[in-house]
Amino acid sequence: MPTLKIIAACERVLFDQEGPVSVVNIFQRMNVQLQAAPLPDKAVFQSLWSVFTLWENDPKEVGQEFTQVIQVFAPDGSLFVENEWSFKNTDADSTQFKIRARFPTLPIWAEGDVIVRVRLKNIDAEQGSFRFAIRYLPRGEDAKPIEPTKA
Amino acid sequence: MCPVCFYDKMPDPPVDYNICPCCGTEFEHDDEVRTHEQLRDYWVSSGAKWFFREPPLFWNPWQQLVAAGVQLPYVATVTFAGTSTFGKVTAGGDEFIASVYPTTGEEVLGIAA
Repeated sequence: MPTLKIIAACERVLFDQEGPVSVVNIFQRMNVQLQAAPLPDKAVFQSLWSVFTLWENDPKEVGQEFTQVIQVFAPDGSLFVENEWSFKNTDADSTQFKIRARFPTLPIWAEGDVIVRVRLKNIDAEQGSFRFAIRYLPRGEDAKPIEPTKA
Repeated sequence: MCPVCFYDKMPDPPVDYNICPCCGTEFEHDDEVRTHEQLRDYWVSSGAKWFFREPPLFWNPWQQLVAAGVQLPYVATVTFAGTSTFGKVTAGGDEFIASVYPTTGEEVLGIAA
């Protein structure tokens, strides 16, 4: 069974054509500053973000397909989104498999921790998790210049 | 796809008195007297609730609107924050390997408006 070596939620993951991967802005905390009325139920923030996972292959499992399941839990504990990605080691000399799962929005309707859980499909055990915080700021606190959303 | 709320799994086309299970619009009835945009504004201002029975797994009205390119009705600024760190990573005794530099603190990701 592949072993999960790295999991990180981040702003973006850059794949170099030669193979190396760069993980940009690993999430730690998101400050949400409300501009007007309270956020509605299930409010999201439109911003493309990624979950990067790095699996270490077992050379004995060449040709065997596995499916990574990523579940993102909102700060209120509800399941926000799920993503599946199948991967297969085709080369015994290849020791790693890197996956970028992208998501278009962040769940910001409640304060607390967003938890990203990773498991392999059909294997009843969590392989790893990553969490980052959503925190509300009162209006005016830590005010920053505002830039347009970059999709 | 529903032209009001942009739910893309309507069981029937948005015509002939069919009703969108998401926003509840009855087509060729509700949209006889109001435009789709007016109906959408009403649905959104009412909280964008799911209309018929239970919503599908992972359904999110705001995500649905974002995917359709509709401007969200609420405004929030989100900033990326981290703990400032500074230190030296060493191996063995005092052999210097790398510095860990402080983060800039916060970087603005953008604004949903």
